[in-house]
Amino acid sequence: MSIESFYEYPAGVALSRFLEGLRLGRLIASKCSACNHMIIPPRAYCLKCYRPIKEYQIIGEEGRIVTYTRSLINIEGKPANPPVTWVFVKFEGVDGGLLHVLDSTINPQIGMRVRPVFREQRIGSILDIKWFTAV
Amino acid sequence: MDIWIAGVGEIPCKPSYDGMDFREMLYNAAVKAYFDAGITPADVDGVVSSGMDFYEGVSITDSYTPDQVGGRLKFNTLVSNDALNAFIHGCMLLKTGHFRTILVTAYARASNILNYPEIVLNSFDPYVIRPLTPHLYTVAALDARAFLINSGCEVRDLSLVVVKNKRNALRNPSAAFAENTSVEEVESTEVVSEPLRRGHVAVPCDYAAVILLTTEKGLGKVRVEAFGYAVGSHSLDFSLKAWGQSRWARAAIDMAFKQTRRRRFDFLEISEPFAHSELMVLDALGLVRESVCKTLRDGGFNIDGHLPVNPSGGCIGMGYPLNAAGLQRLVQSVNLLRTGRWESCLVASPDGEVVDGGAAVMLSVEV
Repeated sequence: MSIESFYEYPAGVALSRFLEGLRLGRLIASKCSACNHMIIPPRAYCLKCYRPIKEYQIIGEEGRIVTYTRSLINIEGKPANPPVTWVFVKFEGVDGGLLHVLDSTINPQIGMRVRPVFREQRIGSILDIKWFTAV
Repeated sequence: MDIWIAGVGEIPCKPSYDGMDFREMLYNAAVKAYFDAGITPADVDGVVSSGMDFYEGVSITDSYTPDQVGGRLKFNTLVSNDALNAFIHGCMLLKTGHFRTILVTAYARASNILNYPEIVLNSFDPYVIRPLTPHLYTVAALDARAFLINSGCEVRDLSLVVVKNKRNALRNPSAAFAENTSVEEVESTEVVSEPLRRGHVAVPCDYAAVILLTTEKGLGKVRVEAFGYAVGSHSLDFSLKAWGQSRWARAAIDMAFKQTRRRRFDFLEISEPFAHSELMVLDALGLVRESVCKTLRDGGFNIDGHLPVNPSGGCIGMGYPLNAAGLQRLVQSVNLLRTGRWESCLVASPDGEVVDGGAAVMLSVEV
């Protein structure tokens, strides 16, 4: 027996800012006006002092690889052909970070400086970033 | 108020219990626990079920549990995440003084899940992670890479963990994946996501366990000396994840240390969905003087080492029963303590393969 389930989640105030930023080809973080803590993806409340967030800022695109892997399987557990390189990227002065894929021609290293490459056609999705590539 | 384990029951891990449903599996485990404790369902005041609806795909677990474990019309509640949380919930219920005996259950029907990686994907952030469709091994591999770099360990150390646990499992009749294997054999398995090989991954299994907790010293077999937990730090978009670290383990053991003076244990049981999971927890716990990798290579974590880790075989040797892993570790610990070889142990279990959360329980036989 198969039962299909359909859900539609509102992204919320903060994440909607982030997704709109992606549509415009920018990275948006939240900034706490009380303690200046910044985080990406943005939150509607400060994780440090719990105050409501009123400020969202475009951040610099350049980040650094914190960890990486070359994955030989896809989500179905079947061989990924070609293999996909995954990275987690953190940005200077900003807490949090982004999981994404890396340009397959790049040989990753921890600490490597990278930047996102945006697609020409963007819809307000994490997939608006085609991949990260070396700076 | 002291809490005791009065009895334990389990059915052995198997890749699949064909023809048996989860209620029948739990019934068989419960009958063994009642026999072990020397009590009947009439003596039980309440039931705490560990359950993850995502994994089960049936309904809310506590609605399906009481009948088969003798808990009909008794206090009944469900605790999510790893089963150690349900166990700790049971301990806290007893500490209220309103209960005398609590039954804790957990089971896994991994063989029911036809698309496990996609099920796990659905537990991640729907906007930032799910569209990218990472396999859970991919996320685990990011952790493994960061751990190896930060700790100075090598991929070979992951294989050493596998060899140790699979060999330990040869002594355990409940283990499904016991094997006298070698580092070379583990490293001949396919790479799934660098640096992880197929052999570094604990294979999901079917399993059921029941533990009877009591405040009655006369019924007690093993004492629950302390417990701790660390939840709420996990971010579903991984933005706050400390890659390569099990910070939850340090927080959980620090909470437990406030309840006991004990700082040394005769052995550890750690749920390890991946080989590096065991090393990450050990690194966070800080119970050995030298580096985790050096201690591993020197045999310090072997069953005859100075701090045996997963003498039961762990999840790699026994099979990984999803959220039931914590109760699997506890049942093995109770059985090992009752052999008379050891007097105390620490049990630690994460709330999932790639989750920054988990719990720890300290047991002893100092009656």
